[in-house]
Amino acid sequence: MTRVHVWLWVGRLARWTLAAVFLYAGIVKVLEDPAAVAQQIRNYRLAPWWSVHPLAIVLPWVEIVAGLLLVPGIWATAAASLLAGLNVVFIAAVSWALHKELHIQCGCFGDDAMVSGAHVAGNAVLLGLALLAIASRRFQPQSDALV
Amino acid sequence: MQHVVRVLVLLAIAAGLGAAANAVRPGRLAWYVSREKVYREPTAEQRARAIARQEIPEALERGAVVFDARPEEQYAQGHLPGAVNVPAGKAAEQIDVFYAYAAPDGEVILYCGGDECDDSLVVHDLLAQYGFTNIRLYLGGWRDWHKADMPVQKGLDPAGEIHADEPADRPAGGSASSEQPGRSTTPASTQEALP
Repeated sequence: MTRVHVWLWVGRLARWTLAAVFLYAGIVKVLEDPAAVAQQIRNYRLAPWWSVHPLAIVLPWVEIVAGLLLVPGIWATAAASLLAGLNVVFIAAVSWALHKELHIQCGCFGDDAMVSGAHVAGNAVLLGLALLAIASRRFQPQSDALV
Repeated sequence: MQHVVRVLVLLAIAAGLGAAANAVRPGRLAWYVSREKVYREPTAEQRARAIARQEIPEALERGAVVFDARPEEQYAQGHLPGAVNVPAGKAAEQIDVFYAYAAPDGEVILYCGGDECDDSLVVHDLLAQYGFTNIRLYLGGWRDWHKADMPVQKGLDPAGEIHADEPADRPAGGSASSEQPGRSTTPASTQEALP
């Protein structure tokens, strides 16, 4: 197996794992009460007050759209970059909540799990996968082609 | 540059889908609400009447009732001894629970997660509308209580393990009853600290 093939498959696995996680997270949030999603964003006390409701409305769909595009690899670099940015924000928010000892729900997958170091670690792994997915695009015969 | 444009397009598509989904769902969220409704803060009067952690045992001695406004799952993981759980999101439909445990002119203490949490403020305003006149906020909330290694209770029953001599028909949290539950006075030996 050539180096190109290895990177190709590393990229695919990274994309599909990211897609699965964020599709699940986005769908769960869409099915949830939007007021509850807004409450979870509010709990962090980080987002500007005027952005809380728009974020609650749009964020789940960002996860779904990016996740859907990552499956076939359409605009994969843009989708992975978007999710990498989201992960950076999530890591920062959860780290902040842990630092301030906020006893709040993570809101990551619509469950009731309280914020913990595991969420930081998990998001760091997802960030790594997003960066792998971006890096592997260098070895695509055409940029952002269907695979 | 091409990828930046694509990211912006993806965001625009997500925003459009989000707006469409929000428009058709029954519990749609308003795009804009006032600042006060997003991040509520206690009023000056509420702060002046707030109760400190050290005053709570004495307040319980004189008959105050404590209500926990957090979600049920958080309450079950640990709460102030004797506190009755009425999550803020359900307070309006469970107003009978407040009447079951406290008189409108009786001393009521409300708390939630901590000073970043406004669930207790939501419940405070609701109770004020229903004629409760002696409401005090414990602004430090669960985080302050827990950090101070104060006695805690777990589970969903506000009249759980700390009262060994309770009557068998004491109502569990959330059920309306004319019987007033006992209050936690001094920390009992049966109480357990959080791990």
